[in-house]
Amino acid sequence: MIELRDVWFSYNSGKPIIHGVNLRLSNEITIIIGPNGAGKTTLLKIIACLYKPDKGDVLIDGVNFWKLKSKEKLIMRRKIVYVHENPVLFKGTVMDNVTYPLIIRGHSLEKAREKALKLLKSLKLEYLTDRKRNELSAGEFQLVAIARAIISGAKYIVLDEPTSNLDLEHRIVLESIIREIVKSGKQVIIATHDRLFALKLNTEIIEINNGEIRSILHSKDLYQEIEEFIKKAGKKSLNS
Amino acid sequence: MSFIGEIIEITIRSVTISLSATILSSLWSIPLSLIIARSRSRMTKALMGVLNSLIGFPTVLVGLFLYIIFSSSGPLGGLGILYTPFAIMIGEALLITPLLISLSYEIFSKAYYEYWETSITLGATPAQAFMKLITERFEDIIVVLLIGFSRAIGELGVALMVGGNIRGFTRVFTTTIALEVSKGNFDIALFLGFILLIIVSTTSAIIRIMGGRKSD
Repeated sequence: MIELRDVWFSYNSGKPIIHGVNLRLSNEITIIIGPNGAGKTTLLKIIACLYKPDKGDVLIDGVNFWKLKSKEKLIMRRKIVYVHENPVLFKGTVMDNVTYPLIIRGHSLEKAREKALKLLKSLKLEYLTDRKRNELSAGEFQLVAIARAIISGAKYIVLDEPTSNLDLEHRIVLESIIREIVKSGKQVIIATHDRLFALKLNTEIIEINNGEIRSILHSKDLYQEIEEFIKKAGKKSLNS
Repeated sequence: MSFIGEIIEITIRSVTISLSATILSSLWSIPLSLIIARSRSRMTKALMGVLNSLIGFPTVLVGLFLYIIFSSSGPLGGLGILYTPFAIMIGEALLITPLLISLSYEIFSKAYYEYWETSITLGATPAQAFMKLITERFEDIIVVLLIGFSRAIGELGVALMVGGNIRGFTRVFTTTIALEVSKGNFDIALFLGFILLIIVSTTSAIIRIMGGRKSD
């Protein structure tokens, strides 16, 4: 479980972006929703231990990450992987990218390639194996970045706006990948402003705005909220 | 030694000293620029402002500063490196440090989020992430080093003050040109200037070619 206790964060010691956030992320899938500029990406990077909060604690499986020594931090950090909204792939092929997390963990190239190919096949992405990054569509780019995150073996997979570059076909692939990740016993934390995507995943939804947690709801509540919104919008258009 | 022989010797010495100075400076400039790029503190951003203003620092002042340090009565006088190629190399390395940091910072401030953060979150150690950042931005870093080399090989103040323009030992392009002008040998000075121009132009051409190359 990942827990945030009274977390405050600001860039360049300026105005706080995150205001005293308290969170316990224990569900298989947690969705963080909020408008642009709400602080979703900053919060995710704090959850992924990429940003150190100005104040407050980040606990990974009960351990206060920022109080660990460097070597312990590396072990703990390897439990969490973060995928950017606009992910970055390295030079070389998709295979080179997907094997990278294994190579840095000391796997042999042969073993790493074997594992990577197996994963790419299971995600139905094996046709991309030898492609370079400039030969991928935006959707493929995103899925390869997620595949690279999965192979790292991290227990917590943090996805920032994973649907932002995806067409309908790739969104369906992404949904099935997320369900596969959860089946393998991992936990997924997703930030999105795509409420329909949040609905489909049928899980706990944390609403954030101006760096504060506004509410914690379930997909069902969000469904009702959208239904009411549609009704109101329908009435308005009929009246006008 | 024949005139041509001496020109070749000066060319080799100038290129070797400036290249060594560039490599030496990169050893601290590149990691330092990465540290600054990573930092979220206002202080480090202010430091960048100071370093940017030091890019145009007069070379003769760097030379004077080092002369005081390396002279026999100076704090490092015991090392006996004044009037040696080593002294020129250190002087040039210090001279180009603000330039290398500033240019590298431009690369790393953009690439940090892209490559460093991605490597770290994928489980890389800081050393592995640093290597990944360097390999991903290798062409850009070479361009930065070539710009630093161009600045180093074309400077006069440091080479003259801490090198002493000793024939066959510390004489480089710029000091030879200055000497020949003072002797009234404008044809030799122009010839040397032409060679220096070729070296700097070739470096610039390499920079343009590398800068224009798109990474796959």
